[in-house]
Formats: sequence, structure tokens, C-alpha cells
Amino acid sequence: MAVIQVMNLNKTYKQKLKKVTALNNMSFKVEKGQICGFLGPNGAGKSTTLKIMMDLIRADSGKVLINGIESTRTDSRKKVGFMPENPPYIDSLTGRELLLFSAKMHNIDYQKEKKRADELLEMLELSGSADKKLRNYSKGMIQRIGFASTLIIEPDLLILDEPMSGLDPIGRYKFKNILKEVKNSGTTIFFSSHIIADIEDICNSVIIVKDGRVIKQLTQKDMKSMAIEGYRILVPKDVKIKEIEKVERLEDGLQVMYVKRELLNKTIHDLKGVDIISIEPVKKSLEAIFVKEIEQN
Amino acid sequence: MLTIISLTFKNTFKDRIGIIILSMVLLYIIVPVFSSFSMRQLQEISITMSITINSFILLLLAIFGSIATVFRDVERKFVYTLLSHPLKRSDYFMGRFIGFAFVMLVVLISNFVLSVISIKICAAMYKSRLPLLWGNVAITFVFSYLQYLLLMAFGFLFASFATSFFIPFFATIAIFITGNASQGIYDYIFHSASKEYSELFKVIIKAIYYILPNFSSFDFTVHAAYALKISSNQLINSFVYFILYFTIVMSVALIIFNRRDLT
Repeated sequence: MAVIQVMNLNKTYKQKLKKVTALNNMSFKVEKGQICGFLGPNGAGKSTTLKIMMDLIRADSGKVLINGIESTRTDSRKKVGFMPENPPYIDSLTGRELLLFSAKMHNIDYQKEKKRADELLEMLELSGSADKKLRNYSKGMIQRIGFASTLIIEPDLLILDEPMSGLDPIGRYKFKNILKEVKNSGTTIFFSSHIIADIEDICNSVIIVKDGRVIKQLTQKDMKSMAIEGYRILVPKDVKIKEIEKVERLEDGLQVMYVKRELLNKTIHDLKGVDIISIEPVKKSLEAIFVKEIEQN
Repeated sequence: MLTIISLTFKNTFKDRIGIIILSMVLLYIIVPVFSSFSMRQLQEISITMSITINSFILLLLAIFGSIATVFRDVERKFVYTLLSHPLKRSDYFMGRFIGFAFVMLVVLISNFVLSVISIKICAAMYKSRLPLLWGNVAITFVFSYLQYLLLMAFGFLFASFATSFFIPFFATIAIFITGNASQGIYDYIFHSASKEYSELFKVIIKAIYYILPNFSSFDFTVHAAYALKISSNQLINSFVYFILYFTIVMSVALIIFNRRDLT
């Protein structure tokens, strides 16, 4: 079942005297239980799409369904956690107050919300700063408390706009692990980023956008199959096979054969009876796929 | 909506500008001092001064109300995190208004208590010929509250579409000035200098008079200071006028805010 359905969204902004098209017939679906990356260069329409999902701005035409409910209805945001880019929170609140406020807005029981707030503060290493005002938080801390405020409502769907932009490498690593844990609990995660490595590490599917429209939607299977260019087969030095693109001889009596993806089965058949030491895929990064798609479009 | 009301109420008392405005209740200290400069009208002057100080503080709060809430939330993008919860825009907007109206009510009550103390001190210093009608003083405070609620509603109307700080700030001040002057101008053109103006001009002035708010209908200062009788008709008319005008202004503000792109 699709948790998010974006249908033919169009949005034009008026900037002084000219009109700027932000979304141009944007359509896609995100299935339940996925971590879906929303990838695109700056100005591709990622944030506009997310804001329409949260009914912060209104589309000129088209619609978004969240769990089957149109995004312009308040009900669509029940059990949905949203964290905008550089999350702006009322800075006179403390970290703990922010979490309790989010829980209250979703009608969570007071005792439960207090307990959950403490757990989340602990998990995101913010217990020591829980009673400090948000105006005294660093950018990374704001990002973490913002993420905690989306988790306190025990969401079915998380919508995150550039969630790792303020984090240092250790913070990113921990954040990715938490995202994976959240996903394992059954939450669907949809997040935008222009940092390919973040998406490549954790996403089951990727939507690539440019100029306000989807140019490619990749499932995990697509990503894997597109990413593998060929294989490296490690065999003894004396093995010889025709049609091998490239062979590299190693010093300790071994050689590496490079075969194209489509020739793997045939090569393995040809190597019948040979002592194959290892087979490793030669991967093309998501970055290469992304750049190719962007250039082609 | 209750969570937004409570957030607004608590945050105003934490806000620096809010605290500065609230600290103006200290101005009540000067009431007995300045009233004593008047040899025989201590009671009347103290009543007038108390009501004026209350009006001044409520005016600042009414101007500050929309800027500190809706305008700031949009400008600093707090709405992204507030409205991403299952909260209707109208509930958010009304929650912000009601929260601030409660702040004004708390200030009004403390102003009234301080006024009672100041007036009692002054009345004890020199016995006035006029009776001290506490009911009239209370009515004046209540209707000044309604006046500034209406002014704050205008502030919220301007903040519902404003992209710059200057719109809600100066437009609210402009409404305050015109709202207080409209009755005087109307009386001048239609009574004092009626013959000097053409009928067309009078029609235009009459139309503007009915469009603009008339804040003088909420002003009972003279009745409080000089113990004049306030008719129940006057009170009912002013109250109905408030309800109608307030409903129209807030409805327009809500319609605009509901349609706005919060970019």
C-alpha cells in the first residue's frame, strides 16, 4: 500500500515580475515500510513537495494523499512526524518542553509522553541539555532534538527535509543507525537530501527529481542491478578463458578476471571444474547513476 | 487549540519585549504623585490617569500581540513545526489570539487592582465633591479591554498577509489613530461645520466612518472620573458593536491566513 501518493503536482511561485515553476507535474508513490530518498540538485522542488505534503503551501493543481487522506486535511498529519530543513523551533522552549509540546499536539497520554521524552533524550544524547533553552543549542543539537520531537509521537510516517545537514560525521553515522532502527519498527521514512552517500547507505528506494519533476524512481533491486557493472573473479594463474575483457595477474599464483555483468553466468559455466577463490561485484556508485540521469535530463 | 493558547500565554511572560511591556504596570506608582499636583481634583485626576496608563499598556500589548505571535511565527518559520502537527490553521490562528487575549486580561486585572489602590490613596488625600463610582471605573476598564481586543484583531488581520514587520506595526497604529479620531471628525463635519461641506463629501465621509472602527464608543473615562450615569443602552450598543466588528475582522483574517502560502 502506498503511504504517500503524489499526483500531478504543479506549483508556480511569483518572484517580483516573473513566474518560477517549482513543480512541473510531479508524481510518485512511496510504499509502506520503506526508507525512501528524495534526491535532486538544489532548486529541484524537493522542499516545495514536502511543504505541500504538510499543507504549508498549496499546489496550483494536483494533490497529495498521505495514508489515503488528502494532505489539505488535518487528519492526514496524524501519526506523521515532520522535520523541516534547519528546523525552526520556538527558541524560548527547552528541549524537554519541545518534546512534551509535540506529544500534546498528538494527544499522547501525559505519563507516557514524559517517559518517552526521557528515553528519546537519552537515545539522542541530549539528557544533559534537556532543560536548556533551544536558543542555546548548537545546530547539531537542534537537529537531534527536532528528530526526537518527530519520534515522540510514535509516527507511522516520517518526513524529513535534509535531516543530516547539521551533523558531524559521528552524528551522521549514529543518525543513520537510528533511522534504520526506526524503519525496522515499521515506520515509513521519506527524506530529502542532496547528499548521495546518505541516501545510498540507508534507502530502499530513491526518487530522483530535477526541474520540478521526477526523472527516475529506483527500487532497491533497480539500484543494485544498475549499480553492478561487472564482477571480479579470483582464480588460479593458469586458467584461461576467451571473451574475458581484462585479466590482472597477481604475484602469488593468482589472477583476477573482470567480466561484464551479462557474462557472469556464461563465465561461471566456462570455469566449471576450476577452483574459484572469490567473486566480487564491481559497483557503480549512486552518485554516478545520479549524475548520469541529471545530465541526460 | 488549548495547547497553542497555553504556549502563547506562557511564552509571552518569557519574552523580553513582553516583560518590558508588562513591567510598565510600575507606572501606577506615579499616579498619586502626579495627582497631588492638582489641588482639588485628586480623585478625578487619579481615575483619569489610571485609565490612561491602562490604555497605554493595553495599546502596546495590542500592537505587540500579532507581531509577537503570528507574524514572528511566519517570519522565523516556526509555523513549519507548529502546523506540521494535526492542527487546523484556524485553530492555530485563534489559539494565538486567545492566548494573547488572556495575557491582556491578566494585565487588565492587575492594572485594575493597582488603579483601585492608587485611586483610594488619592481620594483619601483630598475629599472630592463627587461620589466615587467603582462600577463606572470597572466598566471603563472592561470596555477598554474590548477596544484593545478589537485593535489586536486588526493587528492579526494585517499579520495574516504581512511579509514585512512594518505592515502589522504601522497599520495597527494607523487603525488606532483613525479609530479614535473618526467620531470627532464625523461630529465636526455633520454638526459643527455641516454647511461648509458638499453632500457628496458627506456621503464619502459617512461611508468611511462606517467602515473604520469607532473606538470612542468604548471610552467611558469621563463617566468614571466625573461619576456620570452610564445607560444600559450605551453598554449594549457598544458590546454588540464590538461583537459584530470583531467577528468580521477575525473572519477576514482567518480566510486570508487559511489561503496563504507559508513559504
